[in-house]
Amino acid sequence: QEVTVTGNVTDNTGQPLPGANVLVKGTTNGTQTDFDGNYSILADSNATLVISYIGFVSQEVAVSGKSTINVSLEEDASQLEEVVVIGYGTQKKSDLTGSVSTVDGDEINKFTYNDAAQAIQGRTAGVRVEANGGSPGANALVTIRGSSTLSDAGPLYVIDGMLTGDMATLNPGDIESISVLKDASASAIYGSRAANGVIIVTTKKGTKGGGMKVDLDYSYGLQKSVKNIDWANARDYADIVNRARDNDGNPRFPANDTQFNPNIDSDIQRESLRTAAVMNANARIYGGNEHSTYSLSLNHYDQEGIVKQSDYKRTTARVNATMNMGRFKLENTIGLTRTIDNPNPYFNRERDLLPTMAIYDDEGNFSASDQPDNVAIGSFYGVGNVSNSLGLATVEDRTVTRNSVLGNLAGSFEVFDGLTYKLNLGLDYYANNNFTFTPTYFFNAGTFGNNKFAELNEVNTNFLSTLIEHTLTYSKQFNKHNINTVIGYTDQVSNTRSLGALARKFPSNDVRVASAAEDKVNFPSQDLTKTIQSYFGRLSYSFDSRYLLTATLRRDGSSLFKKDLRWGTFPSFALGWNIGNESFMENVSAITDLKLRASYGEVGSDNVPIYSLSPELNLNSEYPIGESQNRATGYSITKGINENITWETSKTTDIGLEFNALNKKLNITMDYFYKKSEDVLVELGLPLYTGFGNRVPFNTASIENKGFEFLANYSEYVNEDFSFSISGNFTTLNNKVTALGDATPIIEGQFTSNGLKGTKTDVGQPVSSFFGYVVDGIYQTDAEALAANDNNNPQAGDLKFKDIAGPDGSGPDGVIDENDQKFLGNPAPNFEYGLNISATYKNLDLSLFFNGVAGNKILNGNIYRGYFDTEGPYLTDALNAWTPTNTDTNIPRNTQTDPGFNRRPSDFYLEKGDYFRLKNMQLGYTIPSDLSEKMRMSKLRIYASATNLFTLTQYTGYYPEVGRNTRSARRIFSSGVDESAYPTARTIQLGLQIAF
Amino acid sequence: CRTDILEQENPNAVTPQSFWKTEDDATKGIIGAYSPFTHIWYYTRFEIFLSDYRADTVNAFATSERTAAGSFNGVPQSNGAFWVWSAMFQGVTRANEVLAHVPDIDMDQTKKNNILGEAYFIRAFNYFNLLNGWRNVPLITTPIGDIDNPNSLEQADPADVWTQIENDLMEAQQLAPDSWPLDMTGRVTNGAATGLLGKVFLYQEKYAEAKAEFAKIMDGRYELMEDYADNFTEASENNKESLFEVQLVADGNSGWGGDNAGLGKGAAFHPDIAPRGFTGQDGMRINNWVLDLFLDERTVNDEIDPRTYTTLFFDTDETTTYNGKVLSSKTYGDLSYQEVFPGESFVWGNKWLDITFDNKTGSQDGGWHQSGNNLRLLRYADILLMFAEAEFMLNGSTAPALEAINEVRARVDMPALTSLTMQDIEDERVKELTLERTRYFDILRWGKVEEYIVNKPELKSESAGTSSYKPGREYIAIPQNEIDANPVFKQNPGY
Repeated sequence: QEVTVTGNVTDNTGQPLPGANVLVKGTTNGTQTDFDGNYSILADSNATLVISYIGFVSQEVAVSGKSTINVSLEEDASQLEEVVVIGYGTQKKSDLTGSVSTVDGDEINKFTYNDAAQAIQGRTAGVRVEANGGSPGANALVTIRGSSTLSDAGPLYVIDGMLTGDMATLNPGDIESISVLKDASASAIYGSRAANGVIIVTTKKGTKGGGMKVDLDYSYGLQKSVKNIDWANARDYADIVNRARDNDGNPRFPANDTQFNPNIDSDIQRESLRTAAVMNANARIYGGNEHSTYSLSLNHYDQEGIVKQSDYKRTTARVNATMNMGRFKLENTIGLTRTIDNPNPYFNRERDLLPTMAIYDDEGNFSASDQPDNVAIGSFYGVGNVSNSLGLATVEDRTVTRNSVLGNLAGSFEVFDGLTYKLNLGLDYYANNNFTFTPTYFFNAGTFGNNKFAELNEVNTNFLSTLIEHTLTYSKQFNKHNINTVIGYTDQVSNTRSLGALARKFPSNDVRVASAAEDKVNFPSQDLTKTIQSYFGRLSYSFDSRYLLTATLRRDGSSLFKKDLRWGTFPSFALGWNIGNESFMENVSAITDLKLRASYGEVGSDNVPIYSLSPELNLNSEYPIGESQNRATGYSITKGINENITWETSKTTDIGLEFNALNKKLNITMDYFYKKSEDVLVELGLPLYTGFGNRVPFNTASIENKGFEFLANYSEYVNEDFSFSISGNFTTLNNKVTALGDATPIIEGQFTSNGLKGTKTDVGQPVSSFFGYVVDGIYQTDAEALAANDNNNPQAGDLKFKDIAGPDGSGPDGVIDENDQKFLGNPAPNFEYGLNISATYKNLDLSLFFNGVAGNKILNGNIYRGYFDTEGPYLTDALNAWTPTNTDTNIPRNTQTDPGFNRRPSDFYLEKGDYFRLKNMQLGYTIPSDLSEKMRMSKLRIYASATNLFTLTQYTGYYPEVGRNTRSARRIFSSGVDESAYPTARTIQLGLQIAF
Repeated sequence: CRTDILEQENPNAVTPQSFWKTEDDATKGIIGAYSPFTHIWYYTRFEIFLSDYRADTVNAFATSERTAAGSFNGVPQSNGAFWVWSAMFQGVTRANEVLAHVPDIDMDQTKKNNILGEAYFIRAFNYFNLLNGWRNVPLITTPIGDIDNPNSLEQADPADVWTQIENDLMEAQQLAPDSWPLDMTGRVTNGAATGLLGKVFLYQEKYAEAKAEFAKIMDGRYELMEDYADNFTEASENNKESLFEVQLVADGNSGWGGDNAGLGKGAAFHPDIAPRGFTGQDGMRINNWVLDLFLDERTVNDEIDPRTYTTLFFDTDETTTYNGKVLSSKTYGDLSYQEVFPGESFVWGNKWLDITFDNKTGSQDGGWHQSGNNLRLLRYADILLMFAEAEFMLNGSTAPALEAINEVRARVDMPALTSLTMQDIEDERVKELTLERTRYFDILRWGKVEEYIVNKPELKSESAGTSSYKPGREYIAIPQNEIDANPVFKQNPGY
């Protein structure tokens, strides 16, 4: 006889447990509790109900004819403890000996991001995430525990068991959890891949019981640049240039003087920016039964750039499924992603349109001159190399389209109790089309103002990486001993093959395929294969849940090194002591779950370009020969190699302390780490007389990172109407290069095409430190300037640079020369912090997420452009330059010849990079469940969120989160160099969440 | 497991081991040795910053540190120093590969000899430039791969480098052909080797040897073009006056660099010469004394020397009738001085630029590498002037010396000289060869850098003057990269 059983499921404090599973034992008949913990189920009156909830001990209750069964679940001491995803498995948090930070999917899913990596910014200690400006398609930079390499290499990402290089293709809404493996004890199981840390991402799976569920989430928002830069208008620009020309004794340019046109006052920045929309739509269908689960999600993200002619779209579909048949288990995850990125690389570029030039001509077409074509642009306007950045971005067609598949298929078989064999097959594939078509155009007759021949540059790249992984795990508990071991073999083969076409001269601007071109110039193509083969093992042992030990060993072979230098061995060893479980702590209630842990381990990186060892002939050393001057094919040797390169190794020592206090409401984790990276590959310039043009890698550098990480979490359940939690973290970091070997200091950080460079990486200093002269005011008289003995020829009004040292490091020597340069700070913050507050009051919920950095510097390229570059717009502030009557200023006199070399790299360009901001804020309202249930919804929530609502900073560029300049190939050495990175937006969004 | 996956062969490249087997390989190898001449670091652009930009004729604007060498202010880190150095050594090392491997290739003996001759010439030519630019350079004559520790090569005694250059050119003289078929035009001939060998002797003040070499090629195989301007136009490349010129082509490729597909192989230095405002580069003007020198004497028809209009853009209403044409001071777009620079009187460069007003096809002004106008580096007029100089230094104002210089003058309607002084030769070289990359090195070999440049800071008024000069700075700083990478390398005196 079937009866309808209803009831309520609560925890032991009486709190309702929404989403608890209620299952009729031995059947697939089940349901879930609603938002208030209520359930209703049809069951045989003799049946038994199984009530389960994650983190609680399941209860079985016989129906015995009852129609109401209320259940109070006890917390499961073993399960309550967080289970943390680690390499090749999971581990209870209390058993963990390594330093692992986790971020929960709920935190990630609150906001929309173009790159999921941004979701972990500020949420865990020790992980630096930095947006590369505000461009919709730009990926975030992730650095774990400081730069430990001299390349742009980032952490390893393990997405559902597949090893890959980033998480840009993921829909953040699909993420269940993220674990960041920070110390070597945690990451050494990934051995060679882990030198820059490991980020393990688990995506959402289906749930057992309760039928099919549907989650919908839609949000729409508007974005606007947080700030604009104050470029001079036409009149001010003309006055600035006139004053400079007068100061230099040069004639004024007609456009600024006799023929100044008061009707033209172009503001290319304002014209290029817009209020832009961003839309995110998520749908997930999931469910399952005792034997299988499934989750299918679809996402579409569409972000217009706040700079015109830029946008980014991402569409993902993900299918995750699991199947259990006795001892056999099958899991698969497949993510399909299509991204379409249209960047605008021209916005605010160096030498942009002058305010004295019209953006549009009389017909409304883009222009960069209002003079007849036979007038020399340069002699009329003063600048010949000028284009129209918005015009160029508009006429040019740039699209990067990527279709990718990331997934895995894993089957496991439990041979006998405790011993499981697992085969994991992973796949990472993309087809990338990078398309640029530059039509013929004419803005002006200058060098960059027109394009005579349309050009197509298109490259198709196919990337395929396959992973095979065999693991055997064994877990056994006997008496007070608990053993958990895993051993495995894995290999991964990655191939990139690309074919491109560079073609010119098209029959019309509308024909945009290479085959139509008159000149098929080049077909750049390559085929790169990298392989890696590894054996690994880990033993975790705990005694009485008090003494913990973890040891791992991984051995990796890489195809990038020669045979006898190919294999690297990476061990780690860690100890933990759960002091809280000692008998002497039994009566201590102020502090519980106290754990002390310490680890040491080594991880590596094969951080060199593919085929670095392979000598090769350059096939493109051509020379025009013969009457027709056709290019004759020439070969040459341009590549030097170093055969003796091998693994970079990072050795990390970590000491951590964790405890709970205030009745487990307060949870504290702190870590001190010391990471010494040795044999770091540094690219050494061979003598140029060898004829080799490349830099050759050598394992000669060492880098040291030291830091302290602190994470505190406080949760309070005040009453059934009000609860809140506050989580805060901070990290201190000290980064230093301790050796470079034969390599000389690395001078990089170029911030203008005129070649000036702002960073220097040298022994004893952080990677990519700023280096240059120190400004010490302004020379007020010519006599003072002359007396300074500057190698250049400064005069009154020029920047005065400090006399710091003479040759051989002696003190001030009365001469201003290259010996007076010094280190001026560095782009990596030495202090970073985040604060996350969430609260619910009745049906309202609020989350606030703040983060900040301190102690770093930014090289503001706008200062170069705005005061010194003679070829583009000036900052309005250049009007405030020194003159004999305006002496109380820090802006040097206006000059274009710059005989005093004011523009030399110095702290004149450097600004504090500190900021504190309200990164995200969200206010939500959940419709009362009785109301939403009438609409057949299990949940209906509306929310409003804001991103970058306020940012406190002294930085005068667009935004203090600048990433790395893209001018140089080795971008790590251009960290914190801001040549007007894409502005960052403030975003306001409204959203709706519905669950069925 | 997948077995043997760790052995990955590079499928993208030809390896040096499999090369140097056939005649075709030999040809590709020697073309590869010519190729650096068209590198933007070398003659298509940067070389001019280390030659004409340093001369007393040019007043360079301080556009960037690459022009700093011109005011003795160059630094070892300057790309003007290391890019040019690097490209010249690419020529040397590639020639070395050819000289080491081609002798072992089984191929037509004449073709083999010709290629070896070219390689000797290319090595000598680059060393000549290196020696005059930096003076203290390593002497490398074998493939880098055959040197045990290339990172610790010492700089050679300049005298040894001179000897090597002489020997190489004597080899080239023997091995290179008299001429090439039309589809090979532009490659090195024994005439080029002979002319350069004479120049090398002249630079070392070995006047008798110099004269002897020049005399060998004054046998009628080279002649002056009727029109002086024909030496600077695309229409008359590789003409009868030319001994060696860098072959340039404007084929729409405009990328910077050297050894990649699709990069420019046209002139990109034009913007660095062009009058202010035309190309946006705005790199230099010409010092007034140059114009004054031109205007000092008149043609046989009492007109301005026709070479003035070709070489300079200056403020004048005068015209000169030359070769049936009426010459006037015009620049890009057939514009007159007052149309472009009303009320001004600066003198600007014009040679190599749009002197034929053929819709700018001869000269670049829009984008890089847009002119295929070959850069003449050794032409018969120079040979005649150098012959005159050698003869004058040996025997004074003799008839053969006068005859040679007057041949050059007669071509441009200038009255014949009846007696000769060294000053006449110097002046004639300015008028004939300004902006042809030789003036600074003439001053250098005459030992007159201090007198002509350092003591006249006004010639460098647009940049930093000459107060940075220290003895030794007539040569360029050894690139810092070499000092850093090679523990035994020494910086040049004065830096």
